Amino acid sequence: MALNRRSFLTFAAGGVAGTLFTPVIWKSIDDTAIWTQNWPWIPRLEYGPRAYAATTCKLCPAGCGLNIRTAGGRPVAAEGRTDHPLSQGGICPLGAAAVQLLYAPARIKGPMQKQADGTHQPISWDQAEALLKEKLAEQKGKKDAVVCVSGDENGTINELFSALLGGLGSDGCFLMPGEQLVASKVLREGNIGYDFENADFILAFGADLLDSWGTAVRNKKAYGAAHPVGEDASAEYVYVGPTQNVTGGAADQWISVAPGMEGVLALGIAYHLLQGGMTAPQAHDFFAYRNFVINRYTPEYVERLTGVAPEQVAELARKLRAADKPLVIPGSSIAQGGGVFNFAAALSLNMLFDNVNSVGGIQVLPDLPKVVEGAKAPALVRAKDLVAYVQGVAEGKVSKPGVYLVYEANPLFALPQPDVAAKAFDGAYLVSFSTFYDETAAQADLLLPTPTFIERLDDVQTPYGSGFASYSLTRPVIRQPIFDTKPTGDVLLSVAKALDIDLGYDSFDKVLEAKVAALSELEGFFTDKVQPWEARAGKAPAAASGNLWRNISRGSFWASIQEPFPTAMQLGSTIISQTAPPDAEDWTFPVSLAAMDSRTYGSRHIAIPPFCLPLLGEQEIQGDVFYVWMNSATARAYGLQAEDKVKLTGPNGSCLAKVRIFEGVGRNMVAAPLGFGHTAWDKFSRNKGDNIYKVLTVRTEPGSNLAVWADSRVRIAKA
Amino acid sequence: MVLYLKEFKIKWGMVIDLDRCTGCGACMVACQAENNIAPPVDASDKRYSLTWMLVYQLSNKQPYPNHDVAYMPRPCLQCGKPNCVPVCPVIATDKNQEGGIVSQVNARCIGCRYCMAACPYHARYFNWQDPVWPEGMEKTLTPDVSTRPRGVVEKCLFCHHRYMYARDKARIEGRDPNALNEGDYIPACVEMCPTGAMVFGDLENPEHKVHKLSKSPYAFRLLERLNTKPQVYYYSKREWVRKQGDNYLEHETVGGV
Repeated sequence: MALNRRSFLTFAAGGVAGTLFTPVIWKSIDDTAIWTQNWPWIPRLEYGPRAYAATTCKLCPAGCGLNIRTAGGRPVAAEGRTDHPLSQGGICPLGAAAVQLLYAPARIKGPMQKQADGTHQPISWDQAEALLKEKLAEQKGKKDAVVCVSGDENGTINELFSALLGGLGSDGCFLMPGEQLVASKVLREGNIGYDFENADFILAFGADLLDSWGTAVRNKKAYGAAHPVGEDASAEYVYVGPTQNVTGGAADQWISVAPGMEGVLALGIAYHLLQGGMTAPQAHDFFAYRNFVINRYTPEYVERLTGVAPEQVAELARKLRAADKPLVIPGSSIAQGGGVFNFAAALSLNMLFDNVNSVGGIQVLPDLPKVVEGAKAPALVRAKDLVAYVQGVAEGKVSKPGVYLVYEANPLFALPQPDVAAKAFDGAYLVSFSTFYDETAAQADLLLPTPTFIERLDDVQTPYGSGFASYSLTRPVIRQPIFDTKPTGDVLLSVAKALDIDLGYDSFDKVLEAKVAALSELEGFFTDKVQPWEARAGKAPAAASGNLWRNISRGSFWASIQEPFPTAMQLGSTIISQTAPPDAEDWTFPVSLAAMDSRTYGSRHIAIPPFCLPLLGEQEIQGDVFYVWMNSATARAYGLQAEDKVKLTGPNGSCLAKVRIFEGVGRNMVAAPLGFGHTAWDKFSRNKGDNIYKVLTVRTEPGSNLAVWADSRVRIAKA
Repeated sequence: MVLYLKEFKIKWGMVIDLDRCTGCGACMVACQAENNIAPPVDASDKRYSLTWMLVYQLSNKQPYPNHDVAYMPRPCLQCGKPNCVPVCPVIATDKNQEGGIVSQVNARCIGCRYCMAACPYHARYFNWQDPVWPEGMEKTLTPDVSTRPRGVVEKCLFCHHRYMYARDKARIEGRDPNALNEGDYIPACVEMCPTGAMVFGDLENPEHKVHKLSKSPYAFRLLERLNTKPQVYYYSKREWVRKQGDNYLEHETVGGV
């Protein structure tokens, strides 16, 4: 048979059809696909029984409850705890990345000592403690020769630090700056808390309460509960702050006011309330306050300083009056560096509504009992101004200490004008207790790494912003720390013993046990059935009984709604009038710098975790260049367009960035994120963007003498 | 071939309230940890980063001070008529199981990326690079989701393994695995959302919250006019947000009030 064209085509077509019907070809494609995917460098999954361990997060001061999910004993993921009032099942991006941070390449794997060539070499714990003892012994008895900088706002560890320092003859126990510092200047005793859950109109001045301020996840839960999906909102949220940040974007109304001018607007509202006949008979200084506000904070004056139209201010005052339970939150948009004026001015509105220690109002919360003999009262530690101290040392006005102890803090990165901090630290013996190789650790003479909160026992007492006093524990989820680390509490106790300073305990666990035992001095309850805000609104909880330690160490959350003392509130007329901002224009640095903080960028002592990097938008960072944000009118005024390179120059530093046009930034302001520009850490965080703390400039607030930097100003120019 | 047009008695779906989402990104991190996505060293090049769940920022494009923002979390929308399924030459992706989740079999995928071209929502991601976990971090891999090698396409599966666990649990407890209660099965992103902006459940079950919410006049689906029938609904009382959901022109009206 001749093979003609037709029979060839028939044969070919039959052949093609045949291959389609045989499974061989499909099977081999499938096999090839699987075979080409079996690379040895792709990690295999490890299996094991699933379990959960309840603990508390220490990555930022918010103190959320976390459930660490484990598989075969390995922690694999962090989830929000549903039984914890500060998380209620929610989580923030930083907390969600907590487990992976255990293995971040930036972790310090053991104690280290700085060598002559500037590198860090591993040493043993015995050597390290001996070295620390020797350095502290040299300073013993000298006044204020040892200084501690703690980034843990609410841990009992601060008691150990202050008692140890006390034993050495020093008074230098500082916290990293935060809202609690400003609050302590206004409120002499107790903590300040906010009862979001029971309020129906929330007016936040600066406080970025849905992201980086206070008990953020709890605040978000309260916000979510007030805005149920598919139903009408039961509370209105208004945000007064420079940028449409997370809070500004989510709030029902956003009013842009330059940083540092929040208090002016607050008093502008007070003007309307007072004109409307509101009084505060319970405050001794009502008439002084009334005169001061009505004479000075007229609608015209407030408009000139803030740019907010008088009708808008009047409307806010009207809404506040119409609300059943209005709550006004004072704060700074970066939860640090705000002044007493802004804080006291916003706080005074609450007093006009007489909502101090009432349902849905502000609460004055007791400090939990102290357990370490010789430790300073927490209120005294909170009130110490680290930034002013560091400036004093750098300028030579205060004598330089011999030793700095830095715990869970990164002052050489996260203090305003970090070069000033570097100057103040230069020449002193620097000891870092950091878990991660941060900028401060990179400069430290001695590194004594503390385990992460997943590997250690530690505690959280009443986070700032919480509406109730509380206590919970973090506990080791894994038996052995991953690296050769040692809890700082134990290091301090062992060194104190070597120095013949009796702190009364031989391990940090015992300190915490004593703390828990001391809780029985206050009326408290476990939040398994009744939440603190329900209790405040009238639901009776059962008093905590039984073995407190057993319950709390297994994850129970202890809360109290007890008030510390009968409060005789003042409107703060004296301090408000003394700290009032100067009525002057700054032409050298004409643009307000609205720094932005977000848990996406980590926290004050944690750099951007590897798992948070994908959250950053294309117009937040591009390669190693980051963006500063401004609205189109501001950009036009300075001849800038989107993607232009721009230089921000402050009185003390400058940085380079690209321009992002974002209309959610107020007039004549430039918004810039904090948390970029790390030089230490690991490849995930290092060399990305620039450090805005360099551009933030410290000024001293008249009247309070507090260091203030949230209202910094800059010059901007095309670079 | 109309296999993928199969109707399901159970349709897992989400309603995401865009007026309540604050754009914090907790869902994105939760998703990465849950689904074993390797952390990228440089995530600023979005063509190479894998984000099964991605939060977009929407803007009403008004100048200051009338500016308004909304945040839109976007998982795989698990379309009722998925464009990605018919174009897959090796049937690595399919929609054939009760629940209506569009599956993706990584081991079968040959990396041709037709599905990526077909997906109008950019919900599918190609693994351009080997997934690399820093030393030790591979110990945090969950045992639930296999790691994917370079060269395959991956996407959100509504944490399908959690569905399997929920069904197993129901069987063990002697309940009907095809009649799960609301809350028995929730993807990681929904569970972690701190404002509760995401609601998850069976769109076909009148007892589930999503059923009612999806019928609200304020609910809409992305690019509705493409008729892909996503199982993810968005919810917003703001008209400008709903308009952007389907690229409406200036003069066109949208649903809702």
